[in-house]
Amino acid sequence: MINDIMLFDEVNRCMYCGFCESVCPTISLGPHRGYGPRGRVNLIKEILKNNTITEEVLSSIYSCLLCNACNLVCPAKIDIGRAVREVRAIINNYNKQSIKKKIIIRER
Amino acid sequence: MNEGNIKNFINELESSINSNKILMDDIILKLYSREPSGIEGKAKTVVFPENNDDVSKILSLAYKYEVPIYAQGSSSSLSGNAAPLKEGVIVSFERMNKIKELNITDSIAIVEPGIRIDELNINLEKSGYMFPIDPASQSVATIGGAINNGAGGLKGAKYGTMKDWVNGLQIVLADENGTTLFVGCKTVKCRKGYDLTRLIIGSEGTLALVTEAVLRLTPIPESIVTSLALFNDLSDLLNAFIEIKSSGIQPYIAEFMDSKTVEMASKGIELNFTPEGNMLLISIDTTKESTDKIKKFLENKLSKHNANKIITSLNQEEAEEMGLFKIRRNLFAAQVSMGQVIYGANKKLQVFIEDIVVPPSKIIEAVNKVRDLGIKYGLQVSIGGHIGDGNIHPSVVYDPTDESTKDKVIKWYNEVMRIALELNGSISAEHGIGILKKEGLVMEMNYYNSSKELSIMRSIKSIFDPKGILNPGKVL
Amino acid sequence: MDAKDIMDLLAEITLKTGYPVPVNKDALFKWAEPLKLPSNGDTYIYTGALYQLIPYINYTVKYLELISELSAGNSLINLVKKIVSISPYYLSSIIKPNIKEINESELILKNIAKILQNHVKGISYLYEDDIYSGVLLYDFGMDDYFSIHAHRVFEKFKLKNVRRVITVDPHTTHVLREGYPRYVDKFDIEVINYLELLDKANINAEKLGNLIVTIHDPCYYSRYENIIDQPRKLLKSMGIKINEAKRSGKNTFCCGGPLESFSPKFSIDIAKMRMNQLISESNFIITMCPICKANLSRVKPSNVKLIDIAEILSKF
Repeated sequence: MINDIMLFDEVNRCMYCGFCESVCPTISLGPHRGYGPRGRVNLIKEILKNNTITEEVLSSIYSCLLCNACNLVCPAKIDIGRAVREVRAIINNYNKQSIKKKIIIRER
Repeated sequence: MNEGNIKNFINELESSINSNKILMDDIILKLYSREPSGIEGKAKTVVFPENNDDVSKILSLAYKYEVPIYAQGSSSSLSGNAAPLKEGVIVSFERMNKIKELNITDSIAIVEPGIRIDELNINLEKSGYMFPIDPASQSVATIGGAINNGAGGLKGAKYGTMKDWVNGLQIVLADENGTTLFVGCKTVKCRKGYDLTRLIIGSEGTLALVTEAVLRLTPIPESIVTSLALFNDLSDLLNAFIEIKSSGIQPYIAEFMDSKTVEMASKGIELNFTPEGNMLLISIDTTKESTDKIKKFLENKLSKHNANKIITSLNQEEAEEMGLFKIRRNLFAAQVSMGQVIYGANKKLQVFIEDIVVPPSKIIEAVNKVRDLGIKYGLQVSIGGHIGDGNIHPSVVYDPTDESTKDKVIKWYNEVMRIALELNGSISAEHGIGILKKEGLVMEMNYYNSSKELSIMRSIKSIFDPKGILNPGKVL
Repeated sequence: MDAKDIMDLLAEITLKTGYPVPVNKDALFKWAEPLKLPSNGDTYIYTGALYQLIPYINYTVKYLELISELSAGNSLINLVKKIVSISPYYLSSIIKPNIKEINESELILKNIAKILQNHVKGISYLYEDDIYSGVLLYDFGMDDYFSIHAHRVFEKFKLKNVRRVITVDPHTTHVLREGYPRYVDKFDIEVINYLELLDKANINAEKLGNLIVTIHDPCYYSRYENIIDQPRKLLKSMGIKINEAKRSGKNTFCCGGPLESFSPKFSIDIAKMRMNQLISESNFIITMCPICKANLSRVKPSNVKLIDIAEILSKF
């Protein structure tokens, strides 16, 4: 999973079943679905497709532990932990083009 | 419905509930606009109530400004039940997820709607009790969602569906004051006039919002004997099931999968047997002392009908060690990977899962007809389901960007429902009507010469929700 | 606190000093001196300094949080950034982590090295060249910084003729196996984890009596590097009984540690959930990662033992 296209293909397989949310340590602490794997996977799609990054999107991507528990229960076998790490690298490149936003991990 | 109304609604809401309960981020809102059915809507804002008062405030303001309200648990429904069809407000119950009371003597649990079914059961296990409704999505599905969808599950034959396990409900109405009611009773026996509890169950968030549920509990069985049997011939499997079902025994679980689905579901999991053929998975609950007797009974019936492999466990731990449930648990993943084999690993796919039910005596006919239908349309159909209660879930997976296949799938979907009706069954057993089955519902009412039912339902809807703001566009 | 500030700071400090937080470099390999491990060879223990750094990282993050609070989020943290850009070493006089935590880390490393010394032939140590791996940069997705740092580490390896490294924690193991080959051309260092190595060494272990333990699998061992059976086999060979947590092995539940620098609240809440899962099986918890150990120790009830696997294996 190296380039943007490969990353998009990976996350695009999401069927939205939500099984991943049942094993995620962060979803029950965060204020919304973005703090769970289904949210992160679909936000990665948004980032790649529309270049849209809001503060809430950043909170979602950086509140991930990269623990990859979600990958195990994903019926589409999406490598979610690695996908999140990859999109962080992409966001860092955007940031260099001076999209400067705070990254705040919020509790409920 | 116009933009201004939602704006005014939000403005006034912001002054009455804490702003951290309101979500406005456009991108995050998209996460609340979808569900696995592939249907996408448009959420304008999400509100996260933390108690009944919050819900009451939300609904009274929604009534005032005529804003569409979509209640959501975990958005795992399969018929388009919770997607915001019109621009509107999502009421997400994810923060109302507490167990408020647990009373083993009364065998009830009082819970908030946002708790996930598995989570509830983990809490009950210590007391030796369970909540027996177990949709395959139980790890993610919430109690509130299960109530509104009238969910069932693997143990449907023995325990029925949600309608059999909810004694009472606290609900909030979409009226001027956001009135709170308690319908039903805390007890199982209850003759409180008309049964509004069962009216709410399965109403898919179109009548009222549930803020608390009094659930019935039952002891976890002492021992569960499980046989996994593989058959070359699907009709042998079905006959074996019919004979067991007619022997004065109520199976705890009875699941089946056709051979193609078994093959797919076995990929990537470790098993210590070769999974070839059509699979029947049958469990019977019993006492420790009787397990051997039940085992003999099952194996005898299964081999009589030419099962070419039978593996039996005497209790749950053994079943886990032997991996008897692994294939069944992998069903959804199997349906996805079947698509990946056809369309390639990197394709975005849509799984369409049908949900018909027929009287168990008609299951053989139903399965055969569904099979022939798949061949007629040239679709790769996976067939499996809760054979114990006559509920089958034929499913197809397809590329949603391929319009011609999509057309075929929709025709197929409607014809499967027709098969159910012709066999005295129904178009939906446990997934609900949502958007995808609205036509099917009309078809069913007409088929049974009962179309006035529909207008009665519409009248009921208008009494509960006079402005038509609760989950508009769904069910009716 | 703004996680972006933290990431920027750690990245800057790493680029300037080779370590993510202000440390006294000379202190990081002192633990090995009494063992008299050879400093030349082709197979080296490489700690990537992670065990040593955890006490410093934790202290630094707390310090930055305090600054961030005092400054209501802005000016002071910029001041820290400025100090770092001029003289990162100035900060190392302020960052004074808990000495007990440092001693514990050093003891774990000593134990690991001793076991290896006793059971595997021809093992050397890198001493001053046992530098940080840059794993945080990789996890943060700061791949430019990571790439620069990884090249520096690889150069050191080449100067010492390193052919094979033995790693001792999950994060360093993973970043060497996945991150380094992506960014360092011709990265030809063989990476073996010490638990994999010991598992293959077929040690005839002394029995430890009737100890019952519960293993907390680190996510990076179980789900990225498939190191699940090896520690179990090693413990069982010592006659230890393992009461598995409901979520163990491939299904393990994170300790919450990776979020410590972005949200201490999340981190501790997750640690509490995990600790409850573990102690419902036994009150003797085994960790295999410095991040897990540090984070779980924050929520450890007083009657529970929380011990790195190396301490048990040192009885080999």
